[in-house]
Amino acid sequence: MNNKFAVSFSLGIQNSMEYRFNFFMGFASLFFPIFIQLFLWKAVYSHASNMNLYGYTYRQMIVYTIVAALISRLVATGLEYDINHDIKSGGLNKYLVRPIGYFPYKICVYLGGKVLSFAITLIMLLGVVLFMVYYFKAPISVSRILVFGVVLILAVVLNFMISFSVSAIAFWLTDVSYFFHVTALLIQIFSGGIFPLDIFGAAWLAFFDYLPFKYTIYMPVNVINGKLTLLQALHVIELQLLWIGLLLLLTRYIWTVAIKKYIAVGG
Amino acid sequence: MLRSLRKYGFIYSLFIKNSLMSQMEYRVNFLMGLLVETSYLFAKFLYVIIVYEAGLTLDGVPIDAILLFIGTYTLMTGLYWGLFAINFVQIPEHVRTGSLDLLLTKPISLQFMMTLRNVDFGLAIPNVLGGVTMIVVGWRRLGLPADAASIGGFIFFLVLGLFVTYTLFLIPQLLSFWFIQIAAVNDISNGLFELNNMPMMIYSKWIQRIGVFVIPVLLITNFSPLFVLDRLHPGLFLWAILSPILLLGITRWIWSKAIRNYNSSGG
Amino acid sequence: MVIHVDQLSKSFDYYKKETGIRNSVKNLFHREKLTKDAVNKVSFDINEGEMVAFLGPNGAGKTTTLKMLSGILYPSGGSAEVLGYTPWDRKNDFKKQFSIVMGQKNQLWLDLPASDSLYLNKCIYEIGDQKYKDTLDELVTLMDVRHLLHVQVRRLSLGERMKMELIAALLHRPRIIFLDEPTIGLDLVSQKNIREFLKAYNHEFRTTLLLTSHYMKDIEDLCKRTIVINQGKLVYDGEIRKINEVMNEKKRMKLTFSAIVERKDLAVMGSIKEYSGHEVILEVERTKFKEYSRMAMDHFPVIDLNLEDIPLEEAIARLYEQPEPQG
Repeated sequence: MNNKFAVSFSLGIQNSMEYRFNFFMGFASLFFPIFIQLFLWKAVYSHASNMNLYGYTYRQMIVYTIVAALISRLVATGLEYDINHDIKSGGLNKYLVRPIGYFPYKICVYLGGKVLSFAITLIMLLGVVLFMVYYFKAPISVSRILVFGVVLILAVVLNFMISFSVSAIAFWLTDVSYFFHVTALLIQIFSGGIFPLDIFGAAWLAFFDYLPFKYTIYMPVNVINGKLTLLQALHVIELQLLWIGLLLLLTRYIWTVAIKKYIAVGG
Repeated sequence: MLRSLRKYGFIYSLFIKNSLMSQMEYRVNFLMGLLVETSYLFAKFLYVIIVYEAGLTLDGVPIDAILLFIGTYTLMTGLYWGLFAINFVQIPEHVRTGSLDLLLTKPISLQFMMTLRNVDFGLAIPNVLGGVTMIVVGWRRLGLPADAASIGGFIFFLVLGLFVTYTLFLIPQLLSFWFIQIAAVNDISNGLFELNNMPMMIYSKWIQRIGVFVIPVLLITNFSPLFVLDRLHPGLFLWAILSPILLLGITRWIWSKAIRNYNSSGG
Repeated sequence: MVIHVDQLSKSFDYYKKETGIRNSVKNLFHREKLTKDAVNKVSFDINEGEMVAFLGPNGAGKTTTLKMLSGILYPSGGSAEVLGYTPWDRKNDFKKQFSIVMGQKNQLWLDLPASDSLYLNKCIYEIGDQKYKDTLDELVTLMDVRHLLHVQVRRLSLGERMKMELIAALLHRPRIIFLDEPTIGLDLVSQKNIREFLKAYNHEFRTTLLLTSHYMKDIEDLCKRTIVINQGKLVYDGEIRKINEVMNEKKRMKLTFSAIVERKDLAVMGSIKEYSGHEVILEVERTKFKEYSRMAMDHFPVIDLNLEDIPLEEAIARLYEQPEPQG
């Protein structure tokens, strides 16, 4: 019965296979920011008198840098441009009459498209974990790894929800490519994708509590990093679920309004 | 010689005028471009914050020098994107669609027409303003002399850096005459440019050597600040002058090969 | 003689491509290289002031020949001399004496008024102030576009844009003009305007014009002489009248019926080119057309009747078959 979802899902997998070359090269472009930041932290920690900067030891910071880059690569969607295209080209019309809703269709294709990068990211993360265990001698429990896996999946879903909400702006703005550029960058910064959010200071950190972004990168990294206790990590899952629920309601509302407007003007 | 220099100078002034006029036709895009670059500026500024908060000093260079390095990098980013990259990224497109054809029949240097025809103010302005501000603030805080020798030397190395940028980053784009898919090459060359986000002293000795002598990407933004900080080795002076000339020769050579290989498409 | 072409050839290499992931991987290591002769040993001469048409089906090699003559492409064999220069040496002195206009490619900045692009061309071609003023004045008058000079090019109609493109190409008073499908995509009125302008311009300035087109109409009106190229080879060089004769000998009559008509009943009118029961395409003598169409109307359940020219490709093929000497 759920065949149509399965088909959409495998469509996503095939799509990502098509662009596998770009996909691997995307990882190559990750290399430089990580490279620069690693040298930055090396210099900073070798000069800083207190070895616990922003609450991170040198090891934790290194792990943060690598894992955050990997996760931001994983959760990045490019979905906004896709949806914008569907809206502007009138491609949305065909979904409005199809028996499968636009939202479930997109999420199936999206998750299908993530299977491959999820697998590869997991392998690379595993490499980081092994590195931590052997080189830094920082043991990681199996239960922590399991919790991390759940947190990671929810992070992907949560980021999908965020992208989906943001992309609705395409119903109102004629040229959105610049806008999406800005939002993508700001969301990456506020998710902790470049540096840990702690560098912004306590006041900002408190402010970020009221936004969903930190649950996509910052929190997942700190789960594997060992900065959070297992109990805190489980709390992260709760909050991720809460945000996913809230955003579901929000997107539902925005999209209902938007589609009404879309139909009214005749697409 | 002097006459043709004047001709090219005058035509370049027309390019600037025409670009400005075209961009004014799309004021919203222009403003959005400003916004995008401003948000990138914000991302770069995160590095400054970290350096100050961590109290990072490199090789005994005072902390305020970081403003000179990051400022020069920011300024150069603006110039690179506003003057060059905006043209470079279109080269593969020109090759693929055959829009090069008409340019080839003009009694003027093809390289000049193809690589300098457009100037993008939206990309340039925020970075140039932000960069110059950082440089001026850093200059003052360091108490550097504001005399002709220092400022002239700073600008001199800046211009050399601009030459290196032009030649070094044009080469990868010329590959599009042989290969259609060069997105990966772009990722890597952009990544190389980003290495300048931090003073080159944070990298290991070997990376510094490669970045100065093999792929002289570190020459672009490091030499101006190093000169005014009186930390530029005299031997490097010569190399700074020699390498742009060398690179220009290489670029010209690849360019002529590339044009010979051009198979105008589209009929 | 302003153009001398001798055994000019151009071949392109390309790779055989098969679909599927397995073949993509295979292609990474070994690709089968194939060669296509786009232009194959073409020779001809053109005199000053002539208007010559390149005729041939799509992909015949017309455009490739023009691109070699204007120095855009290097040939893979043979030689050419245009105004005493070898085109692909791309000397500036040579470039200042010719122009190429391509119907599908534009040189004007779309977001600016044409006047700005024209001024840029003035500087690139180093045209003196007074000469520029006079030439521009003359051209905008001839084409009746003075009022459009300061309108953003993007807002002009396709026909108006092509006029501006022509002005941009003629500002430096080229001795030779290459025109590649200049009327492609234009409406009939604009096509006619452009043709009339070219005719007048050639008449007034004795400028040599080389034109490719696959619209027969373009060529009939403008050129006495035509060079026919098919599959890279020169198949005919001579008066355009002869091609017209071949093309006009016969017409194609397309009939649509409301009920199935037997094939043998139709064969009396001419040779059957296509047949599907409800539809037929017949090739009939031009002189007999009236008679046959009346006959068809009377005898068969005709619901639609169309008359078409013989496709250019076939007319050329027939020309080639004729045992007449070339040129």
